[in-house]
Amino acid sequence: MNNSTDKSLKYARWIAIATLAALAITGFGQMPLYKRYYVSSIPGFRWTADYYITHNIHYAGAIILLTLTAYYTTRYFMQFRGVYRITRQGFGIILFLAVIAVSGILKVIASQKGVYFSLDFIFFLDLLHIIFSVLFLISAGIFKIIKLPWVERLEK
Amino acid sequence: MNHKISRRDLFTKGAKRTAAAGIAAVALPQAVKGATGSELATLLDLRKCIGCEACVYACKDSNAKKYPEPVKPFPVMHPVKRVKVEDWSENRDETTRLTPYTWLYIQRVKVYYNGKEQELNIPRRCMHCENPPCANLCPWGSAHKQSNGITVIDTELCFGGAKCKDVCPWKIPQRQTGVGIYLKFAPSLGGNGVMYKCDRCYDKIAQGEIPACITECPEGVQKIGPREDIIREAKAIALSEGVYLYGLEENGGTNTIYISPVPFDVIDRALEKGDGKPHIQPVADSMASADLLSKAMVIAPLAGIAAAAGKNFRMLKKIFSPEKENNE
Repeated sequence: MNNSTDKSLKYARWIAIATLAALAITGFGQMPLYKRYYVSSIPGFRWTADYYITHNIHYAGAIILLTLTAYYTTRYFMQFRGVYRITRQGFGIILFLAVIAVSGILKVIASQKGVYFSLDFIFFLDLLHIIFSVLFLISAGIFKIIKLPWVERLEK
Repeated sequence: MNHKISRRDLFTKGAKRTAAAGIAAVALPQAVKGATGSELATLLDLRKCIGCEACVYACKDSNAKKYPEPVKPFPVMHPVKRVKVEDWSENRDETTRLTPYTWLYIQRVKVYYNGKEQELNIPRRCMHCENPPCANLCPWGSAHKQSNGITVIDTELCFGGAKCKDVCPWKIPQRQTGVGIYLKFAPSLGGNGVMYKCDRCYDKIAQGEIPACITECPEGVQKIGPREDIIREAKAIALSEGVYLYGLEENGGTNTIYISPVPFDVIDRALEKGDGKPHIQPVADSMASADLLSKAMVIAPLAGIAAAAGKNFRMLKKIFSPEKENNE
């Protein structure tokens, strides 16, 4: 793999990290916490108490992440499969992200005009989305601390 | 309503709901009811309302079993300066605004229009939006929309964070502290009671009955029916009788349509507004930008796949181009 590919992966990695951070901040902002606990009183953080702003940023983050995921998944199967290997913990992370994405997408569908999900199903989606988000954050943090990579470069 | 829910109950209920939803998820098409089933809407003709409050008391009588019975003393909630107790349990008879015990009240207004003074009485309650932000943005799904167009708050799941009130263009839901599920977790740190609002007697409607506020009205101010029929009728009356409509386009469309002989901007200017006393101004669709972004969400993965395919195609073209072959 050439240097430009490695460089593009490096940029994508930082975009993904920034997007995931924005998704986590705005995701937890869907609960009424930031105003209660004065986060929105910090200069420059007033927007965290506006549910419409955090909701739209959350959606925008999801768009970026879905685009990146589709782009690199396609490239992985077309080009990188012989170069990189997804590790066991990488598969765990993929599972968590997949559940978060599917439950999130279903929540988006549920909030469309003329679409009705049962209360039980919405509660189930909310629970899944929150639990797997927390699991993802904890496991990603642990893997980072103990230096377990999600992907490994295969030996030439 | 005195819900005695233990933490165990919650998890049992949660597990049951999760299991039920898991099964429902398998049969997803059955769980999703599309726009084929018509939503119900109400038409309120303000020309007929005499402000007798029969609807207000009918609502109170009919829904008394759903009212909160808070546990006192209330837990100390932190930060004390930021989290205020909202207790209406000692003032249940208040009828001059919306409260957790008054889901419908009469807004009285005197307006000067076309050179004469007129008194109007406006029954105010939840508008039951077509695309309700309270339901779309509730973090626990406790506020949810039914396929018949009614938005209901599940009092067993609500933590009383009042997000539904914050995102409601009319600030309709009202909070009662000291009741609900938050008491079973960390009441000092999260939640503050339960939110209450008109549920349009969803339980009566489920039994094929009419909401109490409609049946008890001596003047026949309100009528209920399929949204398309109600809208058709409202538009026809507006056209033939030169009256004004409110609720048709507000917040992207609601299931509560008001008919008034006076323009609503004139009414709004004269209206006493404040907490529990909603305005009657034009309202833009709160979910419009989110709806736009959700459309982009459908395109996003396709764009990613296309970009990756394009990139690979360019790389392959470069590798197998004649120049490359010549160079080699």
